Amino acid sequence: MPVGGGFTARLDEMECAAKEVTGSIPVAAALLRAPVADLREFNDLNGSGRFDPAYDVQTAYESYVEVLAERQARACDIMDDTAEALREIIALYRRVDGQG
Amino acid sequence: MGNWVSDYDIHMVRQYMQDAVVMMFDEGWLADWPGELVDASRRHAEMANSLEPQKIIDEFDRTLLAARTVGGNAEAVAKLRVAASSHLAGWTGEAATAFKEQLSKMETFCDNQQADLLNALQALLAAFGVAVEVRRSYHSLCLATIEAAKHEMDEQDGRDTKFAVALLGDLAKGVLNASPLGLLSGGALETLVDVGTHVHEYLAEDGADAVVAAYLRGAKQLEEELRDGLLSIRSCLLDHEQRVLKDHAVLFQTLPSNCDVDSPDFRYESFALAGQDRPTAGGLAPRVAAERDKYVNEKSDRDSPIGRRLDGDKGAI
Repeated sequence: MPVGGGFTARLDEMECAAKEVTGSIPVAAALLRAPVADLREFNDLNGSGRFDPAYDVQTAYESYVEVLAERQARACDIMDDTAEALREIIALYRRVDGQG
Repeated sequence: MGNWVSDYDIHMVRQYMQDAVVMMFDEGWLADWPGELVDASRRHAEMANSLEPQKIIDEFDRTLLAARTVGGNAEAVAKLRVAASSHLAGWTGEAATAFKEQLSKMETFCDNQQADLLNALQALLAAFGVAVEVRRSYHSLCLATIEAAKHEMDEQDGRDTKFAVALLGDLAKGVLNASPLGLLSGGALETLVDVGTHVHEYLAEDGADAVVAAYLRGAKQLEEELRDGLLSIRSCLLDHEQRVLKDHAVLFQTLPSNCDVDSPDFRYESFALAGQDRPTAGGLAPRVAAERDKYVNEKSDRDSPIGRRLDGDKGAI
């Protein structure tokens, strides 16, 4: 039996939020995920010569960028999980409202 | 090929410089074989060629693209947060609040990530400046040494024995301390590094031994400058990395379990209608709890081997 009234109306509004979240967040996550591979494409900064402090700089750079790439990839996963969690709540509440 | 001294030119000018100094020995201007210069200059050329400017440009372009993408996303996520938060305004409880906060954290994350990528770009910019200037300085030192050696042998005045050692430590620190925001607008790396004011004039001295000594002194100064500049860049990168690793605050927690329908922690009360819209007759909490149990069981059945088989997955059983 539908709950009706405010519940149904608010559920419709939540559906709008979900469209933002389940529609836009995966797009945003995909956009963020694309450059992760580029960041990890790092080869080296070496010239034909050798000087240890120069090697140390590129090791430090590579490590820092890898940390950023890892963080960005993780953020994308969390964004996707957020969208999925809201989608599931709406699906459940639609059932409670007799619409599911 | 960019506007910098190539590896080939470094090797050639070092060889010409060595030949000029050895000629001073062969013709009796130097009493002793210049073995220290011959050995050390090979290492100096290796040092000058230790970073490849073109590779730094390639890495800069790749990272700049990523930073711009993240920044563009920050604007999109900001609009999304405003829209979604408005739609979620009629809902209350810990889970509803957590969702709203998560949207805000996404926006913050994009801003922070772009700032941290700009720090990486800034380090590359400093490395580029150092890589170009160490080549230019070493080339200049070798040319001045050649001219000074010729001056000793032919005693012609007017030879250009000046050379310039860039103050690479100051250069790197200057770039690292500047605001990185301008990097987003791009432009050629060559135009982003101001190196003109960081040059120290030097002059080779009279006497064959003094020519050798001046080369060794200049090369040592260049090595110290290069080491100072590179240590500054490395130190800056390590500091940034430590800070990022410590920063667990933004977005990196998944939503709490009471936001997850699959979790027994999920309750209607944690994601409930706010204020006057709250249903009163019978309360919704028991209906949501009962429906949640059914929903989770159905999902579990769907995920079971039998469920997957019924859904057409022939490999399920």
